[in-house]
Amino acid sequence: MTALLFVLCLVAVSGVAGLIGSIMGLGGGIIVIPFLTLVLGVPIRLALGASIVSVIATSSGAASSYVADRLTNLRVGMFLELGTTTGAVTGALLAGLVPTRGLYLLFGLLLIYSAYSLFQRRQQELPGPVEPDRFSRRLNLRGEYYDQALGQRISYRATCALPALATMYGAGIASGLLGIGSGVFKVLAMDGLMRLPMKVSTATSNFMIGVTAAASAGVYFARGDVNPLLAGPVALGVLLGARVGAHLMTRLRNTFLRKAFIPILLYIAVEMLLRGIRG
Amino acid sequence: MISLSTHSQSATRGIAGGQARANRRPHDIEEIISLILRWGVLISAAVVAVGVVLLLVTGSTGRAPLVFVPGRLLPDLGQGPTGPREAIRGLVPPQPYSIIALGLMLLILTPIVRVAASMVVFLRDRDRAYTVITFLVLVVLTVSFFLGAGAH
Repeated sequence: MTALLFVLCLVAVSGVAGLIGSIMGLGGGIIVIPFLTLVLGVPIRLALGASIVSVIATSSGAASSYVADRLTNLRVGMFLELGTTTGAVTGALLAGLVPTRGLYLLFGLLLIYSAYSLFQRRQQELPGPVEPDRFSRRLNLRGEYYDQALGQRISYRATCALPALATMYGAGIASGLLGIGSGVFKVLAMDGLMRLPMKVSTATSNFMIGVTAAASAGVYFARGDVNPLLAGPVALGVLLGARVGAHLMTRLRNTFLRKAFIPILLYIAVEMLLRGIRG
Repeated sequence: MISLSTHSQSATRGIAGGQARANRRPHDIEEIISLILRWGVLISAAVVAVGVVLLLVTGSTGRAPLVFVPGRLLPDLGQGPTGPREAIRGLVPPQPYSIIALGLMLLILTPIVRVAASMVVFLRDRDRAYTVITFLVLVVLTVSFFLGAGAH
């Protein structure tokens, strides 16, 4: 009986994480990790191991729909993956060499600024006409999708591919050094810099986070941090939540997604600032 | 140009990013990647689910009984498997613990297979820039894997 309750509890909470994560383009670690450590009392190592599995489950679970619906921009995703993966490796190499306290403060402030700039654009449904730079045009970074909320086909073009790649590299370093998910930075770079529609930004971020997480999952597995008793039910819950999330997201408006993103940003920002202040 | 809003959704799905070239291909990259992700998820979820159900039915991980301390929801977790071989050593005869671990490994492999498959498709489509990009991502993935494995 207790065993059933334990499994159902994990599946339910992970389901919520998968639902929110798949809609917002995040991994869901901000829900899974506090629940496991604070509510269940799981050691942080095992919580991180389960969380990395939940990121992969959120990504693959929703991405099959997003890719089929053409919401994911595969080219943008694969191009930016260059930055996130090399950044993650750099971050892993730098770990222990760089004081993280200042970085927490820096990224906390950066996220607060991003939340403010999202707030300013809260009414913007679509980015409007974008004149891509030469490099973005050469990489053919554009796309089309059918927007179910607006009831029309949307075609868009991306710009600022190189600055976005550099941002992804920085975000990769940060996630490697600070152990935070980089989904937030991916969404921000695609929405703010590349000027993709918000839906395309979260769907493409969702697509990318799986690869970044898979790279480090091998390490967690080798260390014995992926405990099947925890990570198994978590994976099932997240996969279910992500399926539902993928169906919901296509019907949501870009403005809704952007507004919903702001409180999440602020939550992560405050958490990082606190860590920076406490040292 | 594609005419706006007259398509039904299923019809618009067939148009790959507005590229006329992709129209003629029976399997464009979106279709292939979507299929890989769908099947990767279905298979790994099924394997994990079998393991979890078996765990609940038998009340044992197959290596140790599930022990709950009264008043706590978290069972005694024991040690996680260290490495793939350790994880699946209990597959014959099947232990719930190893079945779940196998499902999780399939889940972790899915995005990596996805990158490798997209490289092959870009290569097939003679898309040089993206063949190189996906190849580099694969290299970095491999490097990061070994870096982490060596660091501990």
